[in-house]
Amino acid sequence: MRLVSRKKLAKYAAEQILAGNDAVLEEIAGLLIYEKHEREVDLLVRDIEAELAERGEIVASVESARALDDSTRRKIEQFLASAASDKNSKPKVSLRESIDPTLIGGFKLQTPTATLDATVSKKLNDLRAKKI
Amino acid sequence: MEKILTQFANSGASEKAGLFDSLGIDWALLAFQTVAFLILLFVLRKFVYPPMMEMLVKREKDLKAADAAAKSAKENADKAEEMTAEIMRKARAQASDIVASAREEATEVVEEAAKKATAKSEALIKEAHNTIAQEIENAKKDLHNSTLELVAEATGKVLGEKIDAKKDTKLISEALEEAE
Repeated sequence: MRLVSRKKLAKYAAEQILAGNDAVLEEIAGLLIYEKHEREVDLLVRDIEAELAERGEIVASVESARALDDSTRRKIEQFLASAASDKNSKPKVSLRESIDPTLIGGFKLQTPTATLDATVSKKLNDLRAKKI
Repeated sequence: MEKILTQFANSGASEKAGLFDSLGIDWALLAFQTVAFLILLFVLRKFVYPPMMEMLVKREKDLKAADAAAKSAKENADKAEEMTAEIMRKARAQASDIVASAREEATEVVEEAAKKATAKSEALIKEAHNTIAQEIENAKKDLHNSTLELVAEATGKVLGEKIDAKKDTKLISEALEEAE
């Protein structure tokens, strides 16, 4: 049984990261190992990103078949910023890019709370899913 | 003959005694023959006629009995023939009934068998139609799925070769515009 819930841990980590204390990530990693909850690392990262997003720091994963050029990258950041912005503040967007040639074309955008799959492979899979 | 007539004409009524002589009759011989005849008659009546009559009577009785037996046999034969005819008539009637009944039963059996065969064949045809329809439907599905798979695969290959960085950028821009 863990001493601190994952939600609280994510909230703490997000606050520390925004405060510039990047060492908190090593502490959390040590805690997960100590509590033998290594398998929860992905969930915890997602929770931390969600907490950061609530605080105006959006971390999104972008998968594409080819490397993004600067113009495309800016469009994606603007898209994310406009989607998450409110009247008082403008969020800061960070992209975690990865290349997967099997996507063929387009891109797949994942935030802690939403996913936008606009890849050609997704469309082809949708077509395959129409099998009777 | 002429001599006899001549002698008869020449003789008179007075000559009666000579008449028998003229006729050649010998009284002694005639008497003797008469006695012999009577004796013969007596012997015949005494010794020959009774057994002969008895034999004839017996013969007659036998003949009557045989006739009666023949009549009886004929009557029996006639009765037997009538009985045989009656039995044959009844047997023919019964056989005719049996044959008619057998024909009727055979007709019913044939009709029943025909009905069953018809029903079975109709069921088989219906089942075959259903099977064919199901197979056609399955074939359509398989064709549809195979077509989809081929189209998806071919499209993926073609697009993989055709999409360059510029087109990819355009795709991403269009997707972003569509999402906004």
